[in-house]
Amino acid sequence: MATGAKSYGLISMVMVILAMVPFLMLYEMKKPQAREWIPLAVMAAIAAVGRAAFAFVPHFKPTSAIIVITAMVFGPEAGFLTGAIAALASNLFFGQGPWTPWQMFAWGLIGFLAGLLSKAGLLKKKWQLIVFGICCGYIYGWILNIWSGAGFVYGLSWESYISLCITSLLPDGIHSAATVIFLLLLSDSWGAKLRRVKDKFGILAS
Amino acid sequence: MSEKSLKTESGLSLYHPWVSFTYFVAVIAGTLLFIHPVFAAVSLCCAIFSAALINGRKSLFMTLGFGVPMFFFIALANPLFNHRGMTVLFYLFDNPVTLEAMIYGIVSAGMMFAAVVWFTSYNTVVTSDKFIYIFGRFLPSVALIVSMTLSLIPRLMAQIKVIADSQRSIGLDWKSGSIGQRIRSGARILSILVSWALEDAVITADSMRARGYGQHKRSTFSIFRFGKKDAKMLVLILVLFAMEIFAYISGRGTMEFYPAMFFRKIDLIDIIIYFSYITLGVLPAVIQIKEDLKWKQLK
Repeated sequence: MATGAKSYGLISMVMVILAMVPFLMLYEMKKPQAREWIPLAVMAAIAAVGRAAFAFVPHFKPTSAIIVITAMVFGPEAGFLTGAIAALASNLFFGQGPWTPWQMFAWGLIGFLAGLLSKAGLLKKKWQLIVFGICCGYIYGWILNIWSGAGFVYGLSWESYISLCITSLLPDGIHSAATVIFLLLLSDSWGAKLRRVKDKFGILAS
Repeated sequence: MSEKSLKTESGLSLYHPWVSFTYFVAVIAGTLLFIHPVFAAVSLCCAIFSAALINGRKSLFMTLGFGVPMFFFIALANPLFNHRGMTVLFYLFDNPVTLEAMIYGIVSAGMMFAAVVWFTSYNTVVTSDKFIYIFGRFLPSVALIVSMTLSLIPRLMAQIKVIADSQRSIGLDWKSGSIGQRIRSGARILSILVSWALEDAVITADSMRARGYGQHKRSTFSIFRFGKKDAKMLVLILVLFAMEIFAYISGRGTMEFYPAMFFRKIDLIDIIIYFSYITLGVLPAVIQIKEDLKWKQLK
């Protein structure tokens, strides 16, 4: 077998892509109706556009909040799909990079978790929403740090990973703050809009 | 050769999506696989050369403007985070900074830089329609949502402009005021956008159903034909890709950095591997230059 320095960059990239396959296959096997998935495409597109629209404040993006709101209404699987597609589509538009699969996975996971928590009734109160919003910025940042660490620090030791996470505390914090602000600003009104569409047109009523 | 003529479909772009996609998988996998100064240098040089031909010089300078600082950041971060290696150069805050970690940092920074530059060429050659064509084979429903999302993005951007203009006319300009006010106005624009887009989406869905979406198996439109030229190129790329995998498995594509750097003696097989790796790297440039020469001759 190979000796010398191992490339964790490629291995981790293949693994993160494989990790997304079951979620996508699950959706694929459901044979979704147009009414079910078109609102998700709309929300993913808005999340992608929102990422560009707020580019004037670094790391301040509404994307996570939009994904969380969508997931709260449409459930965990739809949340994963919306998050992953928002990342993929915005990168198809603004340029792909080695970070694309990581962003897809990170935002997909945020959507999935938001859907699960909401299903369990844990995102009803304002403080719960704030706590989860804060977590989002760090979930996203720490997943992307795996890539940065695997990409250039040999061995990907816990030590170097933790120091990476410490250096990214501030940008991740800004992302968290943005998510909380947008969740507080938008969750009620957007939640109502999405629920109306869901109820009126019977979307994902399975 | 004008810069503009190169940006139109030419060179690798004229091949079937499977060919160009496989090419970038092979070249980017190689770039990320080989933590080795020779391989990193070859990949970086080929990446920059190809990007200059495929994207034009102007866009290359933009990539370099963002890539060079990233290169230095990674190259410097590694010896600061990583204290392995025998040759201690100096101590920084009681932590040893070693020559091995420094070289490792430069090599891996070169790899990352090369991957980013290759991706800029990928973005030009494997356009989103080609990506969806490939991806749609395995995950047709997901590919459909992605293509729908992609078509929505420019429409939403246009709608954002309309909404922002009308908001400005009633004194709610998102471009002025404090950051807090701007964020609030921006959020309002997005909210208006959501109402508009969701209504629009349901109409689209009903219209799709009325035309029979979901009744039969979906067929997809594509204008790509897989010809003899594509087959030949694909075989060549796969052979070179197999060489890469052989190089990695046999341990010739990597080297020992810690505790001390160790260079093996180069034998004939190494030279063959280097040669095939260089061939893979210069492939788009060769295709492009060959085409340009042919074009000039015909003129």
